[in-house]
Amino acid sequence: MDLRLIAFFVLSSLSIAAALGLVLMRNVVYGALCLGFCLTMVAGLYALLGADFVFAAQILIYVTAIAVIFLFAVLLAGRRVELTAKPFNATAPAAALVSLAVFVMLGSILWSAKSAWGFLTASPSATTAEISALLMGPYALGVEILGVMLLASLVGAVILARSLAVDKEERK
Amino acid sequence: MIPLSYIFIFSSLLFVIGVFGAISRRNIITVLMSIELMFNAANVNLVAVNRIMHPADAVGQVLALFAMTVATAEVVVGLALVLAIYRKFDNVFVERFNLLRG
Repeated sequence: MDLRLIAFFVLSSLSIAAALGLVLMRNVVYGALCLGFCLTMVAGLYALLGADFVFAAQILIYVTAIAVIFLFAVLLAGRRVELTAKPFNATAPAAALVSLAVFVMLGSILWSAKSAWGFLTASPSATTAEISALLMGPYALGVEILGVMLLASLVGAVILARSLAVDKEERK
Repeated sequence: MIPLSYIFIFSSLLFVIGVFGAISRRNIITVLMSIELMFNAANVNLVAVNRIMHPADAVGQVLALFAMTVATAEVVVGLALVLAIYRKFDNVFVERFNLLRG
């Protein structure tokens, strides 16, 4: 058996297990840690696919920023009782059925056409130079728009998190 | 040699787990985390299709980077909203957020 295929199975099964832990575990702090682990495994998958820059971005943005922000939010919002309260709402069985049905449908469609797609055979080569050429060339407008959007979301987040606090203090 | 269909199956499983979590959990922060799982499933598909079907150019990876940026902005605004709502309702459960109920 190919070494890369073994690595793929290990990474994907660990990632799926962590995702299931996030969705099923009662304690939200464990869920946030599971999210970080799952995102790390997905980063390993990017490395396996030979996408080196996306791998680095995944580690930098998702694992060290988003997962940690989620952990902060869990610790900021919620009391100890809420962390271990009933995790699912009344629609959980129906939701499980629907998502299982969607997975069976997607999986059967994808599996029935599996010979139409290729294999990962080429040895990985560095893609950073290519990505930078694309970002600064044909996609430069997208980069600028994303920059403006990030600034807007930053300002919006500060205002949202602050204004209600001020409101509450004035009410007292 | 990794078949692309295996990666598709993996990413659809990750996406479906995210859908289940987003629909069924009560805690708003876990709902947001499940949405992140769905973003990741889409990103895995973009990168895998790029590397396996079109290894010559890196457009799929650029799209994945854009999606990551949008996801970051979504998380920042979403968590700021969660904190604001938590201050107002003193609660993190989705079914309690009934400000729009007539």
